[in-house]
Parts: sequence; C-alpha cells; structure tokens
Amino acid sequence: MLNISKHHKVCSRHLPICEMPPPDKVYIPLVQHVGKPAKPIVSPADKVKKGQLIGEADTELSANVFSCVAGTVVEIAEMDTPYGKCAHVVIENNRSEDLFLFKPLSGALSREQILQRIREAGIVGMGGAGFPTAYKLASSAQIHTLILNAAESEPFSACDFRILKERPEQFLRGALLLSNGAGAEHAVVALGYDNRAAADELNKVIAEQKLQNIKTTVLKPEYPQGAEKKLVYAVTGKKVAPGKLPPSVGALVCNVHTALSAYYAVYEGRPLYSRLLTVSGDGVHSPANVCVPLGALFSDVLEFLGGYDAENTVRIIGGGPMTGLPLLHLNYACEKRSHLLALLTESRAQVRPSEPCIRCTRCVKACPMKLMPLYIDAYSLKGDIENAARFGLRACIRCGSCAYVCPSRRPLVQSVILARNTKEEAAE
Amino acid sequence: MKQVLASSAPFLSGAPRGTRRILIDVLIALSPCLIAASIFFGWHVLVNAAVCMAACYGAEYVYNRLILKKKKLPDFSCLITGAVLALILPAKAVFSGWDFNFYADGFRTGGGADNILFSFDIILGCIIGSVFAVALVKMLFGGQGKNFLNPAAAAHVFLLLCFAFTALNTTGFGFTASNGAFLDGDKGTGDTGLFLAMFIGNQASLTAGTTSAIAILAGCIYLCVRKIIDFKIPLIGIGCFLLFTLLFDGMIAQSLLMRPDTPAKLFNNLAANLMAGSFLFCLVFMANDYTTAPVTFTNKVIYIAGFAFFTVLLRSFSAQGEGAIFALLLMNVLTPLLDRYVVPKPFGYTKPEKRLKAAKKLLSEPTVQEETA
Repeated sequence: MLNISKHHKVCSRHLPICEMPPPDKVYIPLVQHVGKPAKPIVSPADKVKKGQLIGEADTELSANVFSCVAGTVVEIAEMDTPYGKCAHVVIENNRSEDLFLFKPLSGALSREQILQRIREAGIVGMGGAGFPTAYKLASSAQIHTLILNAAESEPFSACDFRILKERPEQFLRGALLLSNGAGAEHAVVALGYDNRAAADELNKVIAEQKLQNIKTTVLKPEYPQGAEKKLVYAVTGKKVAPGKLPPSVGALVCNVHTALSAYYAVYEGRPLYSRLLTVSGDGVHSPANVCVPLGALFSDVLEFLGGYDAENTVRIIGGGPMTGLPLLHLNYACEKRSHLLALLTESRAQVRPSEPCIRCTRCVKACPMKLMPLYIDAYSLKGDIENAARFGLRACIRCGSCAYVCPSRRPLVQSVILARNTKEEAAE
Repeated sequence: MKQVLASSAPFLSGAPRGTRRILIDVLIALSPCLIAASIFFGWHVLVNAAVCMAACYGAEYVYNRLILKKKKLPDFSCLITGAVLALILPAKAVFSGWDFNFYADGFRTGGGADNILFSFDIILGCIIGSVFAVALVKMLFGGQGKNFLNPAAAAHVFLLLCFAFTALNTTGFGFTASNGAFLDGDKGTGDTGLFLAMFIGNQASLTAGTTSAIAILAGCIYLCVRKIIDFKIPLIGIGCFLLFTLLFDGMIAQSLLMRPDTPAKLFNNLAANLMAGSFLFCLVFMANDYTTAPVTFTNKVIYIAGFAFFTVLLRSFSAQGEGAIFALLLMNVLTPLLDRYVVPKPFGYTKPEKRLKAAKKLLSEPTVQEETA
C-alpha cells in the first residue's frame, strides 16, 4: 500500500483557522451538491440577509442554498463551476450585519427533529462528495456504526485536522447528532495516521463531557484510508461489495466538517453559508486554513491570503491532488464541496508526457481494490469495454494510486473515466 | 500566468524519474555478470556485449525511422536486451557452416581448436541475434512492453537452431565439461573445489555470462533492494527448482534405477544442478522481465513454478543441453493466458448469490424425475 504523505510534506496542517471577510460581490452557485439544482427564490434587486434562504430544495435529493452576506441580489447568472455550468445568485455585499438564523434547538432531540434541521440548513457531505446529508441519514436503514471520516489521506488537505484540533467539542457533539440522525448505535471517529495528534484532544473531551457511544480510532499510514470502502473495512472489518454502498454492511460514513455543520445548524441555528477551506501547495505564497463564505471566488480568497505565484503555477486543483478536479482558472466560487484549493508549480506537478506501459506491475501492487489497471487502460484505449470490465472497471474507486506510482505516467484514472463514459454512451 | 494544465487526477507522481531509472538499474544489476564473464572467458565477452548493445540500439532506431516514421530515440530497454543476449551467448564460437574466426595462425577453415584470437563468427551471431531480437521479436509486436517473448531468449534459440554453433568457453581451470555431465547421477561428489568454481563462475558453459552464481546473486540483491523485482519470486523459483530436481533427477530417478543415493550425494546433485547452466541467470534477469512475465503475484508464482518445472524436465529428459531458456520461452507464451484467466477478485467480492441459491435449491428439493421413479 502507498504512503503518500511521507513523500509530499503538507504545508498547512499547523496553521490555525482564520476568518475571511465576505468580498464585495459573491457568486453563490445553486448547485453545491449532488442532485437536483436548488430553485432560486430571490430575484434581482431583492434585499437579502446573511443566512437567508435563496435557493430552495424542492425534492429530497437536493439542498437548500443560503446567502453568506447581507445585500442586494444583482442577477442570477449562468456561470462555470468545476463540475459544469449552473445558475449562480450574484449578491452585492452592503456590509451590514443583518443575520438570519434558525431557532437553536436544545435538550433531547428526536431523530426527526435532527433530520429536519439538517435538511433545512442545507447540509451536504462536505468532504467533496456533496451528497445531501439528511437524505443519506434518512434513507439508510439499520445502521450500526457511523464512521466519521477524519482520514485525510490525501496530501495537503488539512481542514478536518484543524476542526479536530480547534473545535473538538462542537465536532463531537455534531458527530453524535449525525449518529442519532442515522439511528446508529455508536459513532467512531476514524483518524488518519497524520491526524493522530488530534486523538488526545478528542479523547479528553469525550471523557470530560462524558459523551456516550463515541470513540476514536487511528488508521494505518496508508493511502487511500479515507476511501469509503477501505474506511469501513478498517473500522468494522466488513467488506463492502463492488457496486454496493456502506449501509449494506450497516455502516455509514460522514465527513468531519459535515458533523461540525450539523452542530452549528442544530445548536446555534446557523445554516450552511460558510466553510473551512485549506489553501495549499507550493504556488501559494501563504498557505492557510481559512473560513470562507460560500460564494466567494477562489481569486478573492487568494487575494485575501496575499496572492499566489502566477508565474510558475501550472496546476490549480479543486479538491485533493489525488482525486480532485483540475481547474482552468480561479474564477470559480467556493462551494459546500470545496475543501481544498491547491496550486502546484512545475517542479511539484512534474508534468511529463506518458510513455508506453512497461508492465512493471506497480499499479497492480498499489491498487487498493485489487484490480489490474494496466489492462483496464489498454482495453479502454482500444474501446473494448467488455474486456476492461473483466479487469475491474466497475470496482475502481478512482483513488489514483495506480497513476501515482506509474513510472511511465500512464493516465490510468483517465482511462477508467473514459471507459465508463463510453459504457454509458453505449447504454444510452 | 502560464497555461494551466487540465488533465485528470492524480496531480502528483510518486515516480519522478520515470522508467529510465528502472532500466538503468537493470543495466547496473547486469554488470557483475558481465565483469565475471570477462574475467573467466576473456575480453571477447565485452566486445560481444558492446556489439550486441550497439546492434540492438541501431536496429530499434532504424525500425523507428523507416517503419514507424518516428524520430524518437529508443529508450534503454534495447540496451538491456543487448546485454542479456551477449551474456547468454558464448564468448567465442564456431558456426557449423563456416568459420570466419581469426586463429593464432591466421584464418583457416574447419578449425574448432581453442586458440581463436578473435571470433568473427560470434560477432556475426551477435549482430544477427540482436536484429532478430529487436526487429522481429520486439518491434514487430508493438515494441516496448508488447512483445510476448523475451527478445534475448528468442534470439538465443534462433541462433542455436539456425547456426548450430559450437561454444568455445574455456576457463582458467581448463575445465571443459558440458552441462550434460552434471546431470548424470554421479556428479561432483564431495568435490568442494568444483563447487567453489561453480559458485564464482569458473565453469564451462554454453553461455558466457550465466556461470557465476555470486555475480547473479549480487545483481539479484541490487534489484531487490531497488524494488525492481520482488525478492519472493527468485526464492520461490529456487525452491521449486530444488523440489523438482529432487523428484526428477534425485529420488524418483534413483529409485527407478534401484540405486539409492546417500544424502550427501543428493545434496551435491541439487547444488550442482542449481549452479550449472543458465537457470539462475534466467530466473533473476529473464523470468523477472516485466514485459513477458504475468502481472499479479499469484500468476508470477505459477509462472516461476512452471519455469522451474520445465527447466528440470528438459534438463533431466531432453537431449538438449540447455533447458532454462527453452522453459522460459514456453512460459512466456503462457503469460497472456495466465493474465487473462487468473484474475484476482476485486476487494469485497462475494460469490453471486443467484448461483449459490440455485445450487442449494437443487440440493434440497428432490427433482420430479426422482419422485416418479
């Protein structure tokens, strides 16, 4: 198995959380989640408060969208996101502190109350997946263990660690909310090996607050320990079959930031309008863990942090450097799914053309799903999807381990995506 | 701002130096064998190696330019082919059809004596073999990573069959027994001087670079340390080889001949078999060749066990002196089949329930025919 963080030292893990003031203009995407786009319920020239609902989820598989500033709606414009185009609500910040909050809940809460609030507050999986949390918690029956994914096995990512370090109590109480919301018997905080320093803090809070049904565990220093199936196996010892989801073995995986957001939504009444973003990579002048209003452009964030190395940056990555999305420019809005913005210079990105496969089998050894990436690559480039499937096309979790170790720089993950797209086209 | 790149994840690489590092490591690992060969068989081995490597590089370059119309220079893999080919050819040779060798008393025909000063025959063999290996075996099937036979092994067999050369590998000890001599029941009993000679490589052989067990060991350790090959594979190969030798050449053969051997004799037999011929060299450098070996560990074990099995089989029962290279080519051909049909199940795979249920149903419910009967 791979140990990636050993080779790529992280540069923002030690930096405390800082707050970014909202910029003059924010561009709030109406799609910040998996599922149907939120329906805009404001129109141009409307006055909005900070925390006010501006995009409404009209189905279960969608999420509410809130304004992160108080101000005036300028327009509703179609703009680029890393995932494709979607409507953005553009709001001009009038710098007033008009705040709209839900009524904080307290005392013993029923499962329905928790789910209701999580749904209202527009909380989605904040580790990058963006799956509506309420839907996920409600739709899975017979959950035994709720796993809080604090693995952060990708290099550079650090915001989960900062939450564990600086907001351990809020996080743990949020984790229990999610656990109750899922009807799970207990919750396990699965800390990645690099995050093991946070275990003491968490255990101290658990002991002090006498929290029940929650414990911490430290994972092995391997990549990809944060991948859902590997995580479920590491924590519960149960294997999730290919094409199945963790609830099939009675487990559910949630992100650390999701739990924190659930805490704020339930106990403080704050909807999801800001999130923690790690800005890292050697192209950034001052890496940081910054609390960003959702809708601020990445360029605004970098400006707030003192700019970046525009001369030498050759890669802009939204998400982790192993599984994230390539960004073409910085004019994307920060959204619920963005946990990491990494800028790499040429020396770190090591861009080289790919060479023919020499069958060194490093990809086969590195694959956590025991697939044969070199054959998937060869067959998918030939367009032979049936044979690519023989070697595990369906089971691939796209963790990028194979392409990471490949000495010939084969774009192995790209081939998997290509083959899956070809398959889908054929199905249509 | 520079042009931002937009290819898919991952954006980092754990192999910054690419394939070149691997190929150079293999060349380094081959160098002890080359040095040992030039010590025991003379400077002619170095000439052979230079000619083979140059011819391989040239053949690939010309093929790229003329047939593929590509200007890209060949990588180092053809140099490895050349080096391996030089090591599995004799230092000097006489072809059966002609004799262009330069002897101490000048050119002459029908020689075969040991006092060849410069062997033009083996140089010719090197060039023909290199062109055959690179152009026909490797490039014709798609080049780097696509050939299904080990180019050097194929070229060796091609030369052996086409030119029927006589190897003239004389050593410092003046020891000229062929491999076949070791395969008789009464070999090398207790002769420690012989074992030492075999271990350091001072033995007669059809091949120049494969005699020195210690040089091969050094190369093997280097490859394992650099993580080019898995150390388990050579160990399993040696284990299988000893087991099959014990069965074919040792216990079974002797019990059939009603000639029980002493344990010491059996041990000598095993050790001599292991170090003689080119089995060890093939095991370390050619059976671990990335291109022609299977990719999963399970398949590699099957492959290496099959290689050991056929080597022992050919050594024990065939008239052919050298078994390892033929066995290797045989297993090369099986590699695509192994990779295709012995595929590991993905993580979390369970047997399809349908089939299980259907099987259980069949077992539990009596069929209609049974009832009526």
